[in-house]
Amino acid sequence: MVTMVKMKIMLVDDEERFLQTTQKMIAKKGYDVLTATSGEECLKKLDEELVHVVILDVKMPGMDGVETLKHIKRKFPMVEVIMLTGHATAESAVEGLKLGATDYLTKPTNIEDLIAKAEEAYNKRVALEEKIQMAEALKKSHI
Amino acid sequence: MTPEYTILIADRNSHVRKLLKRELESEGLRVLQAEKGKDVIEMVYQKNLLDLVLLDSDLPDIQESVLLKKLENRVPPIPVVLHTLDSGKTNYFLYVKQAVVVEKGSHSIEKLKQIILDILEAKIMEKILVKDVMVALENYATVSENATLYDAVLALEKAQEQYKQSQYVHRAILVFDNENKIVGKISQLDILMALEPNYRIADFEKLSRFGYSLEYLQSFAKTGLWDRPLRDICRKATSLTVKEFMHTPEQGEYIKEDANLDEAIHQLLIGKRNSLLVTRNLDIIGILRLTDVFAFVCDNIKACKI
Repeated sequence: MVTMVKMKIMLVDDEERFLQTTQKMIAKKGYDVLTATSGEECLKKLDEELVHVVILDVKMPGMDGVETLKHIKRKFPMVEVIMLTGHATAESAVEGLKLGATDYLTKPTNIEDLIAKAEEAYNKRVALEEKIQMAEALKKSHI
Repeated sequence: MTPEYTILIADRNSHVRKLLKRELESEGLRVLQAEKGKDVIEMVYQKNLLDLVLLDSDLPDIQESVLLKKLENRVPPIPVVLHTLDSGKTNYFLYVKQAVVVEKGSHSIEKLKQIILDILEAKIMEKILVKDVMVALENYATVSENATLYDAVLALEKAQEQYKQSQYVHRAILVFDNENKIVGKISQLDILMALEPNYRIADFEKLSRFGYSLEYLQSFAKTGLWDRPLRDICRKATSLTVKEFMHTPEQGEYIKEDANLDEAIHQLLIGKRNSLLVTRNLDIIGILRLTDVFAFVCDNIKACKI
């Protein structure tokens, strides 16, 4: 039995203002939210803290969203990633999905959609964790 | 206004829309129009480049509360100016907390314009970041922590020489350690203080608060209780190392390169500081000086329409 943990979200975007306001909006709905202003910071924080869902802006200076996604999937394969794209960067949504992103959102979006997609990604992760635990239990019983 | 801004005017009355459109276009803004609630929602959620919504929420096809909720839920948030016949209805703020309400009337246009321009201008200011105003590390004078006071003075002088023609006047040097990391700062005051280390022991400001007069404190120097800064200056210059007298930055002296200028000014004021060290991740990449921030503020005050 997997105990339900509160979903922890990390928002990654280079626009500080966007991070602040969106963080507030999500926190108001009762979720834990971390923020990072760059791909590097995102990876560093994932090293330090348990995060279930990362909402990742595609367009960032330095390490961009797709590059960050690659690193996340390599180092933290269990973390679910939702790509945040603009209309001009729609093709990176496709690339992101191919590289293992769970979903994508197009800016501007609304907070309900954002939460719904994060919940969906979180549930996917919980289900996967359950499967892993069951498989491990099975493995033990065979020994 | 230099950058181009797009605003959406939503009003059921086409005459009002036309009038507002003309007025706002004359301020250099791009204007879109909507007559119905469903168009407002569509535009607000389709266009990333929309900067503000000017709205009379009394639209024919949608309940006000539903529309306002939709606007408030937009990510990223969009500023809303409510232009309405009944500004007394405080329940607006239940839905759109960041909304500004302007009562419709024969003289509301000027007020409306000013509010809209203020909001858009604030948006520009928010986009000014520390890294846009700072001096990059490579343009700054540096010295090793193992150098002597003599070396530090030369480095400062050389930097001032070198940058005489440029925009940067150097009044401080940054100190790096063996691993080339910035670990401290030397100002003119630190150098003078190094010549007379006893000054560090007493906090003059505090002493004077305890009722000691400035004359009394100055008399210390005359009585010879303390050394004279200029005595033995050559020996001190070659024997003192930078590490001994440099200023080691405290917590409040760092600021992220992506912080906006508002935060930086706040931090300068709280700590009464002359500069902040600018960081990217764990590295120091530049220095944000009070003088540059002040120059920026002055330029913007001079540009005000008065």
